[in-house]
Amino acid sequence: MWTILANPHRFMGFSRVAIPIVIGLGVLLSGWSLYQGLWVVPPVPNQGGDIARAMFIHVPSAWLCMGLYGGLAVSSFVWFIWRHELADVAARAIAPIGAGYTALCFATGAIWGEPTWGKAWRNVILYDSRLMSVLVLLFLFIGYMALRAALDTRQKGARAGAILAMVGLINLPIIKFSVDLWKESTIHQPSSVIRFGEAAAESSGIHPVFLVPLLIGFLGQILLSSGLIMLLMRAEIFGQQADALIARRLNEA
Amino acid sequence: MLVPLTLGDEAETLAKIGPGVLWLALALASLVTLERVFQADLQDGALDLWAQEETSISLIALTKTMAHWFISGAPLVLMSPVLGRLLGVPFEQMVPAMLAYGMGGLTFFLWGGVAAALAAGVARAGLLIALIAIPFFVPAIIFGTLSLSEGFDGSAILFLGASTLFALGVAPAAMGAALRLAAE
Amino acid sequence: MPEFDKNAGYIWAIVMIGVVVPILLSVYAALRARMARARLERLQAQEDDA
Repeated sequence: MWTILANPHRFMGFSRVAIPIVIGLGVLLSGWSLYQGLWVVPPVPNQGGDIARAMFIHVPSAWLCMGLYGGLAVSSFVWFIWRHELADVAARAIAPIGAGYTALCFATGAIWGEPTWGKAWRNVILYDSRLMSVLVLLFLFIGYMALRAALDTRQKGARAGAILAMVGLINLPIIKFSVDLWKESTIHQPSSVIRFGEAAAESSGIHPVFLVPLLIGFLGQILLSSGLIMLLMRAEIFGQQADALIARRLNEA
Repeated sequence: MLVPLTLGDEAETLAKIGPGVLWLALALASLVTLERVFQADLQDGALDLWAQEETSISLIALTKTMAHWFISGAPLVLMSPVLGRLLGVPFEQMVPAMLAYGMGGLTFFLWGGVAAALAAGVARAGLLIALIAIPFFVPAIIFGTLSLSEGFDGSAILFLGASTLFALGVAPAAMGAALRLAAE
Repeated sequence: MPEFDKNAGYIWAIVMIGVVVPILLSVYAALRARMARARLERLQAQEDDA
């Protein structure tokens, strides 16, 4: 498996087959999860009724955007230490996808907050620590993309980006801690997914009726985003091959 | 994003606004002049010299940052008691406040330096530097604002100190790596 | 279409965002891949001609 990850040539071969499968499966699972969330699952009275269905979109995106930043940082680290060019290609590809899902998480979270907590969405940002962390994460992604775009050579962009990503990862726990400290009494839903409850109405855990579509939806989104990342990696590799061709031609001329 | 963080949700009395505004001023002071900090060195080739020097480039970066801090940031900190007297802030509050400003301001300049080093060589990088630096400012802003209201009683000022030490440890290394990159 | 309670507008807004953003990302990725590949093939075709 490592050769697929390390060798661009094998990656191209692998991704050609894998991408449609992964995306197709991802869409299927996400679609099923959405169907369950909107049609099948009952509304929960003490969680605001139907609006709680938003969890099937908001929660997976929250896990995903954080995981994607972790992926960005890990790829950057791998590239920084071992100079696997594919790792840098991966980092470049992850960034826009991560930014997209972070924005999605933030927007859906803000919208969900308004009817649930009765505050205009502007205030939701102020009062909720988790949403603020998501906003910071969005800045981290956008800053990364802006930095790489601003530097002229690919090498410089890769190294600067790697430094930024790693520094960002180191800081992330501190940022989260400070944000949570600031709004200790977060009105955000406490983490209830880890606990299994018998009945959603009574305990604060999550009944399997909710949990299963949630996890399936999460898996579907993981697959979908992985497929998109691989697709962007292919685009990047095509670009590099084209540039190499041009460079060679200039040398021969 | 910075404004709500510093003003908090209870921005009624002037005494409460004042410290927050000063906090913001510190953050902005670092950002405004940051762009210039490493740009000039890159242009006149000083960076290349440093890269060949025996001295660690991180150490040089740290020194430059401290210099920048003393010129642009420390005066604001020293002026804060004046502001405090104008607002009628009692003396006991001003001591921890100055300490908080001192540490937080230093943290801003350290992380700002990292952003500036990363963006060295980019024309008109001001916005880029701010964009990169803002996430790293957040803990200092939050701990600072909390410690302004808690003083020595609460734990916020300890966290502020810890995050400042953390910045002192990490930022120069990051600046060094980024500057070494820019020198090539 | 399912009938929702009073918050129907919010729910549909969230669902729309949840569907549209991945679609936009997919279009972006697909376009980039397609254009990069086309560019490469164009360059390689020139090489073959030369």
